[in-house]
Amino acid sequence: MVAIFFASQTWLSAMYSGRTPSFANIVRYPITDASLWAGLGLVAIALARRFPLEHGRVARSLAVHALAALVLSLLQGWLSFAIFQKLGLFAAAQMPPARLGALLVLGKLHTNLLTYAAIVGVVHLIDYYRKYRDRELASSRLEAKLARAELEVLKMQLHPHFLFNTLHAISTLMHRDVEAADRMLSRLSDLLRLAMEDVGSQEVTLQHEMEFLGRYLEIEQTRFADRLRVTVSVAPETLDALVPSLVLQPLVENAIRHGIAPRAGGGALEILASRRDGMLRLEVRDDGPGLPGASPPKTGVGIANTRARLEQLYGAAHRFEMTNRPEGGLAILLEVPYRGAAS
Amino acid sequence: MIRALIVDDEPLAREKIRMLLAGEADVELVGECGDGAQAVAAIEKLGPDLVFLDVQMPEVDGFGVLDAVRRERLPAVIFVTAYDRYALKAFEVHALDYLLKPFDRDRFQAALDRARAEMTRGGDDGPVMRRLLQMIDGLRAERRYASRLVVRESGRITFLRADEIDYIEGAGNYARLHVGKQNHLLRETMKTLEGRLDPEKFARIHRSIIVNLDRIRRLESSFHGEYIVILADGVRLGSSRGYSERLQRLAAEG
Repeated sequence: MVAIFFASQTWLSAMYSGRTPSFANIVRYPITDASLWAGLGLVAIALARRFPLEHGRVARSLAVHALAALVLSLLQGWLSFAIFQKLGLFAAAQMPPARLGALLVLGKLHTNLLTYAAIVGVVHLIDYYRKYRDRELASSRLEAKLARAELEVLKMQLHPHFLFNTLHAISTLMHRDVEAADRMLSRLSDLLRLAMEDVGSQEVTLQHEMEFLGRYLEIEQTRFADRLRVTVSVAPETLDALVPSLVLQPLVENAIRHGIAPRAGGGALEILASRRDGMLRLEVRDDGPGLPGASPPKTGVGIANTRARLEQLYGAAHRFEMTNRPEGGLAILLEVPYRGAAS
Repeated sequence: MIRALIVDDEPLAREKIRMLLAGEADVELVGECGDGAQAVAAIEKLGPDLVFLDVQMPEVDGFGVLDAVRRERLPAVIFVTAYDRYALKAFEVHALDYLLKPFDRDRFQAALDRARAEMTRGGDDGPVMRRLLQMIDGLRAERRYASRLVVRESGRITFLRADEIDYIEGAGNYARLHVGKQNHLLRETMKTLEGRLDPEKFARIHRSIIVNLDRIRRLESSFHGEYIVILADGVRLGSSRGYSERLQRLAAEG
């Protein structure tokens, strides 16, 4: 194709100069040119890949390409001269072959330099397009992953188990205490709304988190009748602090499930927040049986998810500990760097 | 008269079934339980004909209850669940009836009617009872290793999590489970216990000793490839040559 393209050019230029070229020659010139570039082009492509014109390496790459362009162009000129001579195309020439060669090489130099530049240009174009597509693909994958993680958070907070049990509790209350059923339905709706708002935001203020928790605890208190006693003590200066969204609820749920629900007499739950040495300190304590034995604690999905999220958000700059309290029960301690919502 | 028991960890959920049962002239409510351990004791003591069994409960869940109850005491069961794909799959596979929370009177009535029909027709070895037993066996096989052992001692039923056990001493057809300062006698041989416990966590170091690997503090080699195993709380156990291979491998792993 390239050969045909150039053949037409050769034919036209021959027509200008008033000569009628033979068909064989019209075809031979460009075919030789094109095949030589097909070979030398591979070198050019390799060089373009090896020395891309990228940010930070432009000067060096340009120097390499300038030199390579010159060398390859001269080489192409000389090789084509050698081939033309072999083919006997210059039989009618009156000039000495050396001079003819030099003229041909120099005459082809400009086209050759441009050909080299075009090859490097096209390679860059193709590579950039590929990179762009890869990046696009990677970013769409990342987005999907993030969306999945958010969905997991939502599902984790509003466990289908929690949701259906709450609805079931409401369906019981309806028969005996319509007001209480009404209240619970309204708390559940608040909870769903807040959870939906939080999807997509990694961090919220502690105040927001406590609002969510308040709704959740109200429902749990109704579900467990009077068996759940809750004390909340949050230092006012911590309300503005940023915490991972919906971080406390799984911890509280864990405490209720394992520390309070299994006991006929119920139990007490304490939620504390304070600021200490640039860290926000959150604690969830229960007075249940605590962690069993000396073995490492077996934890549910909620706790595992919490750990993974904290690791992702804060790396080494956080603490997460579950310990048995000396007076009995489990204490979950969470420390994250203190950051205000305003900053 | 059908003697019924309600098992659910949530008071409001128990209340709902109690309320719905109040209209049934042929059903007598014999008890209510808020957790799995209570439920096992109540089933064995009261021998109800029918149990409304919540699947998700902390510590010992509905399947754990059925697993622990003596086979001959197994009642007819109507499973109650809020949401548990695993449980639902098991019910579908074994064609067992269940109630999804929240349920209404119609749905409840239908489940109760089916249970009634089954009880008058099949009795103790009706098709539903057989399917229930198959499911329990299937779940047990799937779990492979016991996470919990049930100990019955003079009218008391204790649930021990496998990881609470420090070591087990065998004596004939009995095994003594050492748990901290307490110990419990279980009617099971060392061979069956060894098979039921996860080999990643327990090793038999002697014909009559199985030890929880987490509790091992030190090994002291005595002679002929035998070891003295010293537990975290200072208890010393002797290994015997035929059983010390596992300990040698553990020691080699560093």
